[in-house]
Amino acid sequence: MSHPIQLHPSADFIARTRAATADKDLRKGFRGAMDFLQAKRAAQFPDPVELETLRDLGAAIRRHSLACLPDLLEQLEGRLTANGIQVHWAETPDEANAIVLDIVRRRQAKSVIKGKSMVSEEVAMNHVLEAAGLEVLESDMGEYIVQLAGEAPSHIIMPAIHKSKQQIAALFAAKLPGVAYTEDVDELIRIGRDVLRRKFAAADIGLSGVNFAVAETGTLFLVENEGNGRMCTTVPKVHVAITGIEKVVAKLEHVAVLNTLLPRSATGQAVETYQNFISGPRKPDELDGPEEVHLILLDNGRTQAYADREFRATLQCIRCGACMNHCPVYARIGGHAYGTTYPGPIGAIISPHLLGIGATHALATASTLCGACAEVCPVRIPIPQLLIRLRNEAQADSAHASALRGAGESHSVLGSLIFRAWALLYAHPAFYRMATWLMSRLRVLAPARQGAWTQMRTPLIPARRRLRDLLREPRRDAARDSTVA
Amino acid sequence: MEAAHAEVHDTDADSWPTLIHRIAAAKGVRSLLVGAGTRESARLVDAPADDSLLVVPYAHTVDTWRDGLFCDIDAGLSRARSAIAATGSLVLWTGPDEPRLLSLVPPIHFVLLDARCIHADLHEAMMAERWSDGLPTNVVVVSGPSKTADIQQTLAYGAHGPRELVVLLVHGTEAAT
Ligand code: SF4
Repeated sequence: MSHPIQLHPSADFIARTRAATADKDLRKGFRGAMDFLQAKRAAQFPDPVELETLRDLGAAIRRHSLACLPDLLEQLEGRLTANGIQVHWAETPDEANAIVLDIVRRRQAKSVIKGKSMVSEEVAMNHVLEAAGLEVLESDMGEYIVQLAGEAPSHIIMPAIHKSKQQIAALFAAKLPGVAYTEDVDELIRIGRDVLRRKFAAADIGLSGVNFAVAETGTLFLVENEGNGRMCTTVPKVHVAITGIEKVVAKLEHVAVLNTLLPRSATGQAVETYQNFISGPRKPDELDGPEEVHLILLDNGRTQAYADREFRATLQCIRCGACMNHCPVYARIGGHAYGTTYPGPIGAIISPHLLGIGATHALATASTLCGACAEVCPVRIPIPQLLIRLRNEAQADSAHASALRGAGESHSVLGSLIFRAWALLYAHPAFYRMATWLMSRLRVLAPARQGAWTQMRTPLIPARRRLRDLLREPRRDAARDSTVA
Repeated sequence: MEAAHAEVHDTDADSWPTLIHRIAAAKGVRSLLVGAGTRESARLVDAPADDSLLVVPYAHTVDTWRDGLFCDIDAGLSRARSAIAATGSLVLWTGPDEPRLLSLVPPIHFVLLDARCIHADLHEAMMAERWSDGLPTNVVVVSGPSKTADIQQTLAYGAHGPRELVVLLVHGTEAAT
């Protein structure tokens, strides 16, 4: 089984960011979208006290869920099973895909219709199902557009954010038989709706993600605006949901709290059109709903993050996307440049656990550590702190590298020597004095071109006289002050 | 609710059936899907109206008339268990008498809401109605008609679910329950 997304995101990250920053249309599109989303979010939280209280509550709920994760997962499995929902555990993407293929074969399914699910992207499920000869169709409008274009989503909430209306109009006209070019958004949506409506009625299996799984009641909670998610989970005879093991919460009421944060942080909406609580397949006396409901709980490196005191916070994430909407780096390079399923700040901190630190270390360096992400994160994940830790882990030498997959893979002897010398310099005043004295003497030797630094800035040249020399000089005004006294 | 692009009509326990007939006629609705055997469906059929609205009871499993449901029905009617003031949302409790697709597939969705059953927010609704003691296989909290902003953040209504949401707020004691 091949995994097209399991590439080496670090390898040509720099090249991809160059290409993205050079693409004027892309940058304009992202800038506009980010400004729009930031303004909409801000309008949803006019009261900072309410916002901070809610964030405290959200963080506490997520931390609590993680603190009792093993027990909650056990309880969840028990309740879901009692409700008639079949629970499957997958440690790797291959295992998750094998479980789906198994269901497909048993039901002799030919077509799968999908609601939005980032975890299914994470395991490259479309690819695997298509390779097995199934028709796989994305039904979220954004995902549908991206699929039609043969691309991957560039944002976890708004998959087609990188595409302009004109590009989508041209795409529909080119790919859909009998469709004329139109830039009318209502018309474009109507076209998509008509194509997909026929598919809903015919699909054998509906596939979806999960926003939260409630241990107490054995309920899958899904939110959406379009109604495609409800279609996927209701119309086909089989519904397969897939999610990460961290998405469990203890109580139903926790969902109510988290979902006051999720839509407002994500798209700046007060609430989604549909909040869908699924607690079982169709009962004998019911007239619709799927005959079978399955839940696949995927690990894929999450337990590694879980095992580390600091990295565990990564799993608090409710996938709202606010961190990317507010990230100055994401706004400039867009989602595709990251090369991972999850882009932006959350991508930089979660991907190392999914794909290994060695393969993803460049992502953690693509941050100015400005802290905007942590400031908006509804569940208070200390993202910059985790980025620094990841940078350290990537560079650590074998003696200091942790047990994290890929830790120390970007260790370089020269790099670590430079940093050791740097540390030495700053830890010993004598060395420091000597070095700065030397630098101010040798300032004429400072090169005019200093690599990436001088691309946009004037070169760094040591001052003629050090600060400490200036301080040592008797201050003229100080002398005057003393005579007055 | 109107902020979320829903249409709200005030009515009372006696006159809502005629009101539905009137709105349906104005919107050109020819067929209205209702839960089979509910008191509401009987009242709609009995309501004095001179239109040709066809009241269709949802009486068979969806597997036997999937195409009919998807192509021939103009509107659906369901009852809200309660509503949520903070977000203007309706709580739909599905079950044998009001199947899941009733509120999803038809392009226009009518909802009857008893004006006495309104909670401040979702949390309060869950606690007051003791949801965690037992949920049906599917509960849906609806806030407006289906929509999408997936094309250049431009909002468009009627994505995959209903294009219009019409709420009938039933006042008075003998409300539709
Ligand atoms: S890290 Fe925080 S802000 Fe980013 S997607 Fe997750 S919950 Fe949202």
